[in-house]
Amino acid sequence: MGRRRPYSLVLIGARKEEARTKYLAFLAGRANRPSRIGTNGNRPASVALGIEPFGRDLPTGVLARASASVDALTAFSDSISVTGRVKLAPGTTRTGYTAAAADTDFLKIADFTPARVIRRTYESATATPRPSEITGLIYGYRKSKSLSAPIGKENATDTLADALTEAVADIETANGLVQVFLKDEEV
Amino acid sequence: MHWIEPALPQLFLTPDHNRSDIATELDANTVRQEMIKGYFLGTISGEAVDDCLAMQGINPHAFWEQVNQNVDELIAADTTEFEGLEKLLNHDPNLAAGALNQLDRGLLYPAV
Repeated sequence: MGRRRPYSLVLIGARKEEARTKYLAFLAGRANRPSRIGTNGNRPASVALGIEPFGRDLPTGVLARASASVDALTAFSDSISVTGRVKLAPGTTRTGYTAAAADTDFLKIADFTPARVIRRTYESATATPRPSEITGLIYGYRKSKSLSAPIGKENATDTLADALTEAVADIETANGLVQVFLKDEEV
Repeated sequence: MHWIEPALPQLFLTPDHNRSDIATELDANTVRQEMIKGYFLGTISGEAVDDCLAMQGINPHAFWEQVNQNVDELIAADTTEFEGLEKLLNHDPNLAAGALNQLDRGLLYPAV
C-alpha cells in the first residue's frame, strides 16, 4: 500500500474549499477576476427546447421548458443520445433536430431541472503544469470546452440508461480527448 | 447549463460496458452528484464527499483540481445562465442577497 503524501489531506481540503468559495462567489456576482473575463469570446446564444421528463408525466400538448446553447446543439446534432430527446419550438428548424407539434406549449415546471448530457472536449492529451492562483500549488492543466444539452424521454419506455448508452458511444472515436458526464433530472 | 456541471465527476463507462454496468454507474453517479451538491449547499461536509469519491475510485485531489479548472474556465467565459440557481441560493442567505442583487440588475439569471 502506497504511503500518502505528507499533508495530502490538507492540500485536498484547500483545493476543495478554493473551488467552492470561488464558484459561490462567482455565482453571487462577487468575484473580482477581470483579467480573464471575456477572453473566450461572446456568450453563446441560447435556444428554448421542450422535453418530456423521465420522472414526471405531463399532459398532452405540454413539454417541460429547457434550454441549450447554439454551440451545444450544433455539437450534439449528430448524437442520438440528444437529438431524439429534445424538441425545438414549434415551427423552428435546426439540423439534426425535430420541432414539437404545432400546438405544443413549453412550460417551466416548478422545481424541475432536466437531466443533461455534458461533453467535455480537451484540446490536448497532455497536461501543462500550472500554479493555483490561491494555493500556489502546481496542478496539471488541460484546456477544455464543455457543452451540455438537456434530455428527456424519447418515448414511453425510454430511460436514462438508454440515453447514457447512446451518449457513451460518442466517446468511442474521440481518442481519449472527450469525457461524458450526466447531470441527473431533478423532479 | 446547470450550476453543478463544473463539479461533476466523469462517468466511468466505455462503449464496451453492458446494460448492468451502465445501471450501476448511473446509481453511483447519482450518489456522488447529491454529495457534491450537498457540499456546495453547505449541508454535507467536504470530508464526506472525499470519502464517497474515494470509495468510487475517484482521486479527490485530482477531482478538485479539475473542478477548480472548470470554474476558472466558466468565469473566463463570463457564463451567466444557470439552471437550478434558486435552489442553491435559497440555502445561503448571504449568497442569495448578493445573487438576487445581480438578478435584479439582469447580470445573472436562471436559464428557464
